[in-house]
Amino acid sequence: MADDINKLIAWAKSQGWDVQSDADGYRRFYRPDGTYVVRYPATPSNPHRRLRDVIVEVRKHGLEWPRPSKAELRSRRTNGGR
Amino acid sequence: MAKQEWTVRLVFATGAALQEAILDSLAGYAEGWDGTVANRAGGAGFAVTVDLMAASPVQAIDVAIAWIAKGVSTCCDVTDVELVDARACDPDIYQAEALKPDTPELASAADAAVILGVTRQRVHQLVTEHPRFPAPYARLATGPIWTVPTIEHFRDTWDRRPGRRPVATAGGA
Repeated sequence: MADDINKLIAWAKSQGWDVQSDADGYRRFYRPDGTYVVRYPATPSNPHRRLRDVIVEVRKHGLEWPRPSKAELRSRRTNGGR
Repeated sequence: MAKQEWTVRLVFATGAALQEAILDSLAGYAEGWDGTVANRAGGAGFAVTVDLMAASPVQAIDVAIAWIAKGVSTCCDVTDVELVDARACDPDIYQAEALKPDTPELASAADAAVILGVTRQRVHQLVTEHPRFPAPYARLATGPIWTVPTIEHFRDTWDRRPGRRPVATAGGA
């Protein structure tokens, strides 16, 4: 799961977003124009759902959600759909 | 009626844009229910997402509204709050929609050639000569690109007759 949030952060940054870690361990997402959008907790009790919520919100604010690459799809098939 | 889990997302408009500290305060309250609070897209306000048990989606929305109303009154001094959107759905559906890509699966001429089982040159020939070859989704400096489903549909409906065409002779001789 940490890998998934890190992938989202890397993607958002590559699209001009800013993601900052605050003193409490929250990852804070900012649009390219500097507007705050949402935060992801350091230790969410349900990481899958909190990640899902963050993805929904950053997409509402204009972050395009890409298709997985062919290499990633291949990797998922190899790893039994994960 | 048996209770089941619902994902509820509520969007509230406010008279003025909320400061980050207020959104943090609401988010802190929501995290008590393992919920998420975000800045509202497209206007002043905020959005809340929470997963909860209820007998119906309507009841889930009612519970979530009552819960966040309490949070607004205890966590922050925002009075002009108006519910502008409410949705409750099965968590699996919500998850699937959340991760659905924005962009279609795309194919370059080289990808189309693989799908059709022809050479790249033949793809370019089809583009100019075949009346039913799909129009490109976009034209880039590197060439046209198509969506994969349109190329697959063409492949599946293409009346393909391999081999050289008979040469038409002048005067029918």
